[in-house]
Amino acid sequence: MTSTEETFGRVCSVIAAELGCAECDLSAATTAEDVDGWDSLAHARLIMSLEDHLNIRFPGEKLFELDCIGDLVSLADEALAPKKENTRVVA
Amino acid sequence: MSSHRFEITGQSDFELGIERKRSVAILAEVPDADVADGLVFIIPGMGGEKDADYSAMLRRYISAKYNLVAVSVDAHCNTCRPARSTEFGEVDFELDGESILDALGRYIASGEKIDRRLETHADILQMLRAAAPKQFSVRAILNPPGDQYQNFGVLSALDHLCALNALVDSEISFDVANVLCVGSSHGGYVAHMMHKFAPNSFNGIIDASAYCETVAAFIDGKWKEAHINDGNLIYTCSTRQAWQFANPGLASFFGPDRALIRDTAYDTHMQTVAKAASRKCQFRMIHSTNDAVSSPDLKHRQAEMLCALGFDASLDMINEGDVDGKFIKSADHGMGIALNLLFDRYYPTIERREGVTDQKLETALTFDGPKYSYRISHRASEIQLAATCEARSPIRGETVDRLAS
Repeated sequence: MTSTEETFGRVCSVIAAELGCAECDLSAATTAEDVDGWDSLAHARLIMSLEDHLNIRFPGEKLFELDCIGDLVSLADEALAPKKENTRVVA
Repeated sequence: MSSHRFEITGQSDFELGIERKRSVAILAEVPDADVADGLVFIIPGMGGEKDADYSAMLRRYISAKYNLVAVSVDAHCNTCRPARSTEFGEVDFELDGESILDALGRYIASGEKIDRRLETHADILQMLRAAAPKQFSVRAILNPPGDQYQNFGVLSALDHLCALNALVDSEISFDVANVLCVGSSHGGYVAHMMHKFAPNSFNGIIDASAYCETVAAFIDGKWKEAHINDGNLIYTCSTRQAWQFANPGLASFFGPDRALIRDTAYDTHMQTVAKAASRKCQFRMIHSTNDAVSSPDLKHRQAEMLCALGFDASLDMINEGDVDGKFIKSADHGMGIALNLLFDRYYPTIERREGVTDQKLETALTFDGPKYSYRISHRASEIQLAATCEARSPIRGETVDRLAS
């Protein structure tokens, strides 16, 4: 499993838990408009929850510019990358 | 980027003589740069934009994207609606017992049977819920945290100005010539009032659907302020009140003076503001022709007046045809415009203009009404902002055109 696939799974798991939707209905192309209840307040809750679960911090200027789950995954991967590199060094 | 939290003493209610029991919390998101390009107060309306997660995210977004210190202030009566999550405390939802009995009467009149023992209001509400889809209206008082009440903007504006002073005096470095406010609905209204009380401190005010005067339904305690649906129960709400409308002899009477000081489009007062403003603020406003809460005509007049007084003001009036589902989601009050998009749209149209704060200038303003004079004094000394309201002798022949209209 690539890191992107792994991140995609973790992101979808958080989205499903936060928004009460089925994980299997989510794809990289899924947008907020495709999911019931994914409004701006839910989006904020989701971002905070993803940051908690993945132990990352998204760049502030990107927070409202995420059009689809694929964007979220890419950004999460970018935020996770330094952590993974550090993990390898330590290991 | 770093997050800061301060607390300052709230402004006492100088109109009603009520001391503040609760300190005013300030949350600031500070960008990484040594000196930020300015500071923006993000002032939500009374609704969902006060959600804690959304507010925190909005501060981070604006701070990172625009290199601005992004600030939320727990100003007076800031929290007056129940919310999923709050940064500054919960609103207590107090149901009106008499209206529960009224609803019970309607339940019986509709032919429903009393099928349980009713000992408490909760028992009645449970029975009413079981009668869905029949709907029942129940009144509720919204009690903001810390024994606050609906002051309608004056104390909120003063709290924000004290917060600005505290931030200027803090270790946070920002360009004090570029202080802005962004707000929708009540938040935009508070932003205009901040400018009214501190005409030099702000480089730009961005508002969506900001009203220009007191919305009577929000202060008359007649349960018309908000409707909150809970299944088949509809709560008609009113925030806790301190004003009264029955006895003009009491200071708590909400008379013309109280209305005029809260009027950000009252030409006599705004002429005072314009004279005191060494730098003219830039106003960017957007409003709907369908707005049922905030008069579109009055908003037009406000924009025209601001321009006539030398301010750099623009007003985008939208209608049903402008609803695009992205920036403008409806033509109703608020237009469904998210604060991040509002700021993205208008901040780039505001240019940095040299200016200093009213605290440094020690600006003093007098706003006369028929019965009272309001004085706002900014000082560089220990007490940095003083607001008073004293009885005055009416000037012979003086008319209050704004009220007459």
